[in-house]
Order: sequence, then structure tokens, then C-alpha cells
Amino acid sequence: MKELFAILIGAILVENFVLSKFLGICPFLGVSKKTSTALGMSGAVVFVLVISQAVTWLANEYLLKPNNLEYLQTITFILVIAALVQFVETVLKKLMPSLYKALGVYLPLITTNCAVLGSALIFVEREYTFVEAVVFGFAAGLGFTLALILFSGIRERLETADIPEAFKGMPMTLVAASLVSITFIGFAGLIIG
Amino acid sequence: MFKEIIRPSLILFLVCAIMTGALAYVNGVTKPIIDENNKIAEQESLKNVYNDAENFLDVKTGEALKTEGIDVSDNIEKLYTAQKGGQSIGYVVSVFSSGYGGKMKILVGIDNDLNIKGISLVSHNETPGLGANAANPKFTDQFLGKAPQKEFNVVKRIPNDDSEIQAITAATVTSKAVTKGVNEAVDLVRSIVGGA
Amino acid sequence: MAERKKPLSVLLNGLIKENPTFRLLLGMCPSLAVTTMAKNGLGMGAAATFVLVGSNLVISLIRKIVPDKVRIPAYITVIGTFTTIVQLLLAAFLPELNKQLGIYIPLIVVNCIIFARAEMFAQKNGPWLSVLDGLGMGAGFTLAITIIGSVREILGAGTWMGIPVTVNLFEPAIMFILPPGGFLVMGFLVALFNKLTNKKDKDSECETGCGMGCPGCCKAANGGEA
Repeated sequence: MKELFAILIGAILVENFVLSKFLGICPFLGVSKKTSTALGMSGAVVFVLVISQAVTWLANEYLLKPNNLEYLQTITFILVIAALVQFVETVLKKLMPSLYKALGVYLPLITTNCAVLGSALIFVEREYTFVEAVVFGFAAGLGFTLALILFSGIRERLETADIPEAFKGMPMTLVAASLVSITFIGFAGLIIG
Repeated sequence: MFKEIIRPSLILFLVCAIMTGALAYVNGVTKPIIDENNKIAEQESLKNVYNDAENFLDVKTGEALKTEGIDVSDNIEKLYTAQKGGQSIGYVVSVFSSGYGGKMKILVGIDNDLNIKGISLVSHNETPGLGANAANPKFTDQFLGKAPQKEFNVVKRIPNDDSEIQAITAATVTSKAVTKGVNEAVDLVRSIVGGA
Repeated sequence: MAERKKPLSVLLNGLIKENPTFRLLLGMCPSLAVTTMAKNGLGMGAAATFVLVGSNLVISLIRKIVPDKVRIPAYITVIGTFTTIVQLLLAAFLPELNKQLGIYIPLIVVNCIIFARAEMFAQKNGPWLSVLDGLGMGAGFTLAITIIGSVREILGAGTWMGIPVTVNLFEPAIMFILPPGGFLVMGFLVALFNKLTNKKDKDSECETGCGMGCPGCCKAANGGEA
């Protein structure tokens, strides 16, 4: 139990996926303009992350490892993720059209989100159990959410600020990200394990 | 029917088959090289912590040691017997420890008199510039040549005696984690040689 | 495509005009993560170029055979295969670099640069031009992240490619090697690039694009504009 808690806090704060591990940057920098879109994206990511961790873990444990096919991990994982996203999109469209309208646009973005594949690769590297892998995915998603929301707030403010021409848009976002990232280093005080 | 479903599926299957075939080929070619690399790297890292030894044999996992009735911490990964001239002169223990950035693996070389022959951080996720400095001789050399009666203890000042290890500034967690690993390794060797 | 592309212009496109890192802003994850040292930037760039050229070539070759329905899974398989090949080759022949780059090597498979080029170029052009596009984009990417890595290494550790350069000029600031430094350096370099190429960032609402959903894909399609 203590292990799981450590994994949770670790992935959200101490080694925040976006601000510390640089996983999930592409959508982070592109989507975080309005808080509402940030929430939508984050929700979708957490959802997909949890399910994908579970499925990829099972695929790795029962399909790849017993047959010495570890070299197929990369391909298998990304195919699983892509299929999952496709599946979620279809299901949402049919069963919960209002939710689909809110999240649907962000779903394809999740396939190439480094955070999702990254989480899978990490549980392999760290030899997590099934539960640990899923909790890790959930935590990674929460960390992503935290970063995204913090960010959209900052970006909303930046919209009205007076910024030099060359810095407008992406560069300013990156500089702002760097400042937020510094504050997260402050969590270095948390003792883990 | 054919055009809609079967043909696309067949083509996709073909693409997958060819790609996977190519992959399997590359894997077949590279696997022995990768395994060899890993073996060489392992031997090198063992020699690194026990320079005097010629070879390292008789590898036992933590699990195996437990079934032999030896009291072993769960963090012990493997025990290697260090040999020179056919005689066992000591051991190398690979032990895990929870550092600041997660699990780290430490190799400890210990001779039959419980002197620490060498320490190295084989893998870790510690912060570069802070905890990662635990891998440097500046920190690990503190352990060398010692065979303390009691456990190593981390302190934040100049050590008073052999059993005290000075922590790295701003990296206490890492320092403690490494020390804990070393202690567990020493405990293991102690129960094997039945010494002090 | 309507006009015939000149091979040379295809090759040079990726270097400046449509530099994937500084202009198209694709492939951010590895750009920030592995650029703690110049050497790593170079290594990652080379690996990504290999995958880019390989997948561009294969996708261009099969573009007329693969039905639209199964296009995406086919791309994923091809790109994934080349990524894994690079992984295996690195593990076998350059284990040190492999250790340094870690999980970012397999993450090449979700590097938006590769998908974007597959969709925007390889799908619509012949194999030779596609290879050139892969080389150009790969070179642009490599150049970009090596520069980022160099800046971070010099400012953060006082060395370049492992050779001490700053000596006693100034005390290196570790922050540049840590994540905040990555963001900061990237931000400044993109701003610099914008200034030098005199382009203004029309803040686009381009948040989706390509079948795979790489953000900025529509940017890539429109030559760097929204």
C-alpha cells in the first residue's frame, strides 16, 4: 500500500510527467490555451491511460513474455493504444454523444501522446505488477491534468500581456512552462519510500 | 464484400507480416550481440567493485539463498563469489534500494573479512547534480576498506568514526538509500562467512 | 501534387523553411528530454532520421496498394518496425548511447515528425522524393536538437561533447540540464528562430490534424502557417 502511494505522489508531483519527464508535451503545448479544453483533454487522457496500462500490461505478461517476443513491445503497445483510442471514440460516439462532443476532438491526439506509450514503457522497465502499472498510469494522467490546468490558467493571462513579437505564441508558452517546472522541483523535499 | 472488408484486411495483414518478418530477422541477428554486451558489461561492473578478483562464479539469486536457509533481505538480487587463483576471496552482492527517483541497483564488493572492496551504483534515477553524485568516488570511497562492527550510519557532518558516512548535501535520501543497500549487503556476507 | 518538386528544394525544406523542431514544433518530447548533452541530441537525431527515411520510403512504396481504410494501422506498423530496428541496432552496437537515450528511443514511434511526414509527404509523393524529404526533415531535427543540447550542455555543465569549454569563464548552472532549463532554452531558441526568419506566429486553433492527431499537423500541411 505504501508502495502504491509512493508511486501516486511520485508520478503526480515529484516526477511530473509533463514538467519533469517531458512526456505528453505536444498536446500540452498545443491544447492548454483554455481551461475548458484543458479539462476535456485531461479527462480523455486519464481515461485512456488507465485502460491502456491494463491492456498493455496483460498483453506483455501473457502474450509477449512467454513467447520471448519482447522485441515486439514497441509495436504491440502502440497498436493497442491506437486501437483503444479508436474503440473509445466509437463507443463514445454511439453511447454518450454529448461526452463525445466535448472530448471527441482530443481523442486522436492521445494516440501520439508520449505519456501513454511512455507509461507502458516505464512499467516494463521498472517491472511493475498489474496494480502498480495501472496506478502509475492513473497518477501519470493526474500529473498531466495538473500541469495542463495550471498552464491553461497561465496562458489565458498571457493572451492579454504585452509580449515581444518573436516570443508570441509558442516561445512564451515554453518560458512559462520552464517557470512552472522550476516550482515542481520544489517538491524535491518529499521523501519517497 | 471482397473489396470492402477482405481486401483491406488482407493487405494490412500482409504489411504486418512482412514488417514483423523483417523485425524477427533483425532481432535474430542482434540478440546474441546484445546478450554478449550485457554479459561483458556485467563482468566489467563486477570487476569494478572487486579489482583483485579474477572471476566471479557461483551466482545465486536472493530467492535461492533463502531456500538455503540464509537470512536474506528482500532487496538482495544476486550474490557472486569472487575468486582468485581458484580460491574464494570474497563476494559481490547486487542489492536494490529505494532512492529518491525510484529503485536503484548497487553492487558491493566485500572480502571474507568483511572489508568493503568497492561500491558502484549500477542503475539509478537520481537527480543529476544532486543525488546522482552518489555514484561518484567522492561519496562511495567513504565506504572503502572499512569493516565496521555495527551498521553504517548517515550523518550530515564530518564523520566521527568508521561507521559514519557523510551525506551528500541536499541529497540525504539518496545517501541514506545507498548506505542502506550497503548495510544489507554486508549483513548477507556476514551470515555466510559467519563472522563478526 | 500539381507542381513537380525539385529534389534539392525538398531536401533543404526540412532544414530551415519547415524545420520540424523550430518551425513546425513537432516532436517536442524527445527534443526536450534528451537534449541534456549535445552528444545525445546528435544520437537521437540520427536514430530518428533513420526511422524517418525508412518509413517514408516504405510508405511511399506501398501508398498505392494500401486502401485508405487501413492506412493508419499500416503506418503504425511500418514506423513501429523501423523504430524497433533502431532500438535493436543501438542496443547491439552502441549500448552507451542506448542507455543515455533510454525510453525515448522507442518513443520515436510516436514522434509526430514521422507521422506528419508520412501523411503529408510520403503518402503523396514517389519514393525518391520521400527519401529526400525524410533526410531533410531528419537533418533539420538533428541540427535543431543538437543545438539545443549544445546550449544546455555548455550553460549547464561547461562542456561540449564532453570537452570542457567554459573553463573559468563562468560557473555552469545545473538548472540548464534539468527540465526547466530544457523549456527555457527551447523557448528562447524558437523565439530566436522566429526573429531570424521573420515569421510571426499566427496563433492557430490548429489542435488536431492527420489521422493520428499530431497537433500542428495542419500547420505542417500549410507550410508553417495556421
